[in-house]
Parts: sequence; structure tokens; C-alpha cells
Amino acid sequence: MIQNLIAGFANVFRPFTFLMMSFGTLVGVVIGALPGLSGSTGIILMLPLIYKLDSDVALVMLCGLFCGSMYGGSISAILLNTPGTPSATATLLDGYPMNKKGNAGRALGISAVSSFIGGLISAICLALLAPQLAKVALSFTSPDFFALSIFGLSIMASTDKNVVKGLIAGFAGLLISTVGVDGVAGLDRFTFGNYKLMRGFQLLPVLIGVFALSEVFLIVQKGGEREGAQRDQYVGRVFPKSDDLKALLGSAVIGGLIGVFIGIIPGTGGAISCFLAYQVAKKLSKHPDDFGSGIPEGIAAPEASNNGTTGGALIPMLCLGVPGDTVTSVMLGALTLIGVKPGPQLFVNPDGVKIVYAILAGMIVIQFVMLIVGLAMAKVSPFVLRVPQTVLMPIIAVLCVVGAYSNSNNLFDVLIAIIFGIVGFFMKKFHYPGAPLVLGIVLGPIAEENLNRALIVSKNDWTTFLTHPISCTFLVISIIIIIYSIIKNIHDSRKEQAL
Amino acid sequence: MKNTEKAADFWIAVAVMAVSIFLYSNASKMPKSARGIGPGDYPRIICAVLIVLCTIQIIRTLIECKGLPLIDFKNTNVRYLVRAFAMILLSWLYYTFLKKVGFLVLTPVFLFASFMLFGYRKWIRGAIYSVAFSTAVYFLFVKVFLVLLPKGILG
Repeated sequence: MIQNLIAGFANVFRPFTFLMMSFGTLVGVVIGALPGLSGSTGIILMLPLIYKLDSDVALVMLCGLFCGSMYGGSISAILLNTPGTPSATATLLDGYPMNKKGNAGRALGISAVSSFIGGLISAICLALLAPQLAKVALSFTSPDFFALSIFGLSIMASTDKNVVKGLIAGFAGLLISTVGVDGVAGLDRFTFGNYKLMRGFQLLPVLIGVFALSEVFLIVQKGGEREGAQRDQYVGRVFPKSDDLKALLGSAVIGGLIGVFIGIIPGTGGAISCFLAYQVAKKLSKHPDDFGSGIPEGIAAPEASNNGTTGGALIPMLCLGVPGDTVTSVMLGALTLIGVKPGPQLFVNPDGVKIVYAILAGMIVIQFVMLIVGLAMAKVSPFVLRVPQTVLMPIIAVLCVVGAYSNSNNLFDVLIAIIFGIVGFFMKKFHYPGAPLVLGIVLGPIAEENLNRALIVSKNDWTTFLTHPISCTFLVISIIIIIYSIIKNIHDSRKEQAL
Repeated sequence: MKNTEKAADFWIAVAVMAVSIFLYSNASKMPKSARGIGPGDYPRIICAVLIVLCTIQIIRTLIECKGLPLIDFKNTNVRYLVRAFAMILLSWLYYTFLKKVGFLVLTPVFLFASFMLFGYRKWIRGAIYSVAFSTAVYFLFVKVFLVLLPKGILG
């Protein structure tokens, strides 16, 4: 493992890889800073580029974008009182008040250093835990992988406010994945004579539609322009003073550890962990009443925590092929697009080892790059935030069209992106989550292949999923999660009605 | 939850259920396999689960609506929806004419129209941004990423 990790570092420090990683981190910070654009949108817009890169370089770049966007979200939270990403929602509780006191640079510096600490903790945990989990997962058989797909889908669906909507989205994704020539018998399924559908719905246009184009349709509906922006403000000194560093250290370490733990649980993510870390830091603080007034600990805990989720979320994605959050579900799609199949086999086959350890080493190096980029970007961030949404969104629409077209130089993919953009628009409007839909499309063929294989081996004995301890455990946990979520939904909706 | 969303939940569930029933019957006609699953079995399982989920959603919305109308135009803010549909229409027109007109000619027009739709009112700056961005993207994708963007009337 140590040797592989050293090779990973050597790979990451190759000039081109390092350049692309830094580029990804910079793009991530900018995209995260712009309200309305998330890390998943950033990854989608970068997908046409990753086709031209080696898998390891492409993935390290995407990891940089992922980590950068987590930090970037805090910039607009601090400067505009609007979180750039949902993961930065808790940051504005103390970040914006500190800015209002005339300490915008101080708040951004604390955020960058805390993100670095949280990210570094998560990267180290990723490097230590992922190979161990992969070793366990190597013993998985076909029924286990089928059950794991169902587990991943149900856990992602159950994080939604309405679990039934999440499940409908997830199973719709599975159904969409069946369109095209069937992998087992070679028969056309649901193509209805359209030869263009024989290769099925390509993942890239679907991702572009559901996550990026739908956002354009949604924002145009709201009128485009952001409100409450103070874009010409003075930032001042960015690097935190020693007093601030002492104050933030404890909260950042706690936040980072909470982030890793939350990130590992599939279907969660930075939006949940940032509030949890904020509450824990407040409870452990000697002066809890000062939280909310603009103190370093109030910025450090949520920022370290949301960056802590990055490495955590990559653990189940790399080892099991089950993403930890929405961004990693898009990354899972990106991996599939460049022909990398996540799962325990990735840790044993030579090509996979090269990719995996480039990611593990890259995640550590990215944190240092992110710190430098973050501190530098803090100075120029008010200029970035001056880009009006009325200009930005049409540009994103064009990038979506070009991105979809570049998938196979085919205009049909543009049409697919527009159709899924409309689907995504209505899903967002009526609160159907997009992540389970995409996860369903990604996991669909894996689930079908393993279901078929398991039934062939067991001579069509469906009890094979219950007699295998691992698959049985996954299925039982899935059922418990769904039942628990349904009960919670009913309870919440009764509470809502009572109010 | 607003009544509009409940009504939408009801109709979305009805639509997904209708599609699932149609695809279930379509998949039932596919050949069976002696061992393992045939090409139609897996979609049938998914469709069956979707039908159950949609039934739950329909019952749930009917209970929550408690006699409220399921077609709710009064509470639907049509003005906002028109903007979204205009953007969708603009995207569709862009897709339709992209091959004939070409990327380099059509994209500035699309961008400028989108800027205006989003509410950007600086005409000259908008026109400059449209042309500059379209040209930059064209050369980036054609020369660097080697993507053959449609040339249209310039080809």
C-alpha cells in the first residue's frame, strides 16, 4: 500500500497532472463561489474535457474540482450572505456577521484554513480506510453486488424529504437504463423503431440535462439576477492571525472528523454535516452564546466539516461503487463515462491501482493546492461575484449544448440533454431528487448483470439473496431504512399539517 | 406544502404509472429465458415496483388534498413558467437549426436572445459578450478538444 501511495504521489506531481489538478481546484473554487452552481454542475461542465485526458489525470482534476467547490461555497456565504453551495449554509451564520464587522478577508482566510484542515483529515482517512474496505468488498459475490445496488439506491432515495418521491426517481433511473440493446440477449428494448435509441440514453447528456440545463431553466424562471450582493467591497488581510489559528484549530479538527463520518454514510453530504459540526462546536465551546455573532469557531467547524465529507464520500464510491452524496454520484457517472468501473476490483487490477492511488495521493496534495488557491481567490472573489447571473446562465446553456454534442458529435445527444433538462426542471420544481435518478441509470446495468448472474448460478432460486449473509444484510438494512424514512415522512407531514 | 405541488405530485404519479403499465405490457412480450432473467424480466420488475410506488403516492396525495381541486390553475404562477418555457423553446430552436445554420453563426444569436430573456439590458455589451464567447468556445472545442461543431452556412 505504501509503495502504491508513493507511486500515486509521483503520478500526481507530474507537471501535467499537477497542472490539471490545480486547474480543477481553481474552477471548483470559482464554481462553488457562484450561487446557483454546485460542484456537480462544475463536474458536468468539465466532462467534455476529461475525455481527452488519461483516466488518472481526469479523476484527480475532478477531485480538485470537488474539494475546491466545497470551499468556494463559503465565499458567497461570507460576502453575499447566500451560500454558493448547500454545504456552505452553516458558514454564513458566523461568516456573514464577521464580514459585516469589516473583517471579510479574515472570515475568508479562516474558511480557507479550516477547509484545508478538514480536507486533509478526510484525505488521510480516505487513504487509510479505502484499501481496507476494498479488501472486505473483494469477497462480494453477484447476489451481494445486486443487493448493494439496491442498498445504494434506497439510501440515496431515503435522504429526500419524501422517500416515495426519491424511490420513484431512483426506479425511473433504473427503467431508463434498460432502454437500448439488452446486454444479455442482444434484444432491442423500448426503442420503438428509433435506431438512435439502440445505444440507450447516454449518461453525459442525461447528466447535463438533469443537473445543469435544468438549473438554467429554473433560474430563468426566477428572473436571473441575484439580490443583496455587495460586490465592490474591500477584503483586506486574508491569512488568519495566530490568535485566529489557535481559536479555529479545535473546531476545525472536530468538524473534519464529523465530516468524514457523515461523508462515509451514503446519501448524506456536506449540507447535513456542516450543521451537525456547527452544533457540536457550539456545545463544546466555552462561549456558546457568541456563536452567530461572527467568531472564528463558527466558521471553522462547518467549513472543515463540509470539506471533511469529500474524502469520506469517496470511500464508498471507490470501494463499493455506491456514492456518498450528489457530487460523488455525478463523479460515479464520470468514472463510468471514461470506462472506469468503481468497486473493489479497482484496488487490485494494475490499471485500477494506478488510478485509485493517484486519487488517494491527489486528495492529500489537493488540500495544499486548495489552501493556496483559496487564499489567493479570497482577494479577487468580489470580482468573480460581479459576473451577473443574467450573463452566466446563458453561457452555461451553451456549454451544456456543446458538452452534450461533444459526447459523440451527435445532435441527438443535444436533444436528449434538452429533454432531460425539462425533466430535471420539473423534478426540481416539485422536489423530486435528481441524484437517485442518475444513480439508477448508473447502477441499472450493474444490478441487472448481477441479478442475472446470481439467478443463473442459483438455478433461478430467488432465496439466494437471503441465504447469502452479505446480500441479506444489505437488503434488510435497505428495507429498514425505507420503512424508517416512510414513518419519519408521515410524522413530519402530520407535524407540518398541525402547524 | 402548497396545493399546486400536491396536484403536481398526483399528476406526475399518474403519468409515471401510465408509462410503467405501458412498458410492463411491452416487456411482457419479450422472450423468456430458461435460466437467469430474460430481456423483459428486469424491466418488468422495475415497472411493477414503480406501479406500487405511484399507487402509494396517488393515495397519499388524495388523502392530503382532502377535496381540494387536482387541477389548480389559480395558484400556478403562469408568468414565471412562461419564462422557463421560452428558454426551453429557445434551446429547442437552437438544437433544430444548429446543423443548418452552424455553431459560429447561431450561438451569438442564441446567447443574445437568452441574455435578454434573463433580463440583461445592456444591449451593446450583450452583443459583444455573445460574439466573443461563441468564438472562444468554437476555437476551444474545434482546435483543442477536436470536436467537430456544425459549420452550417459557413461550411
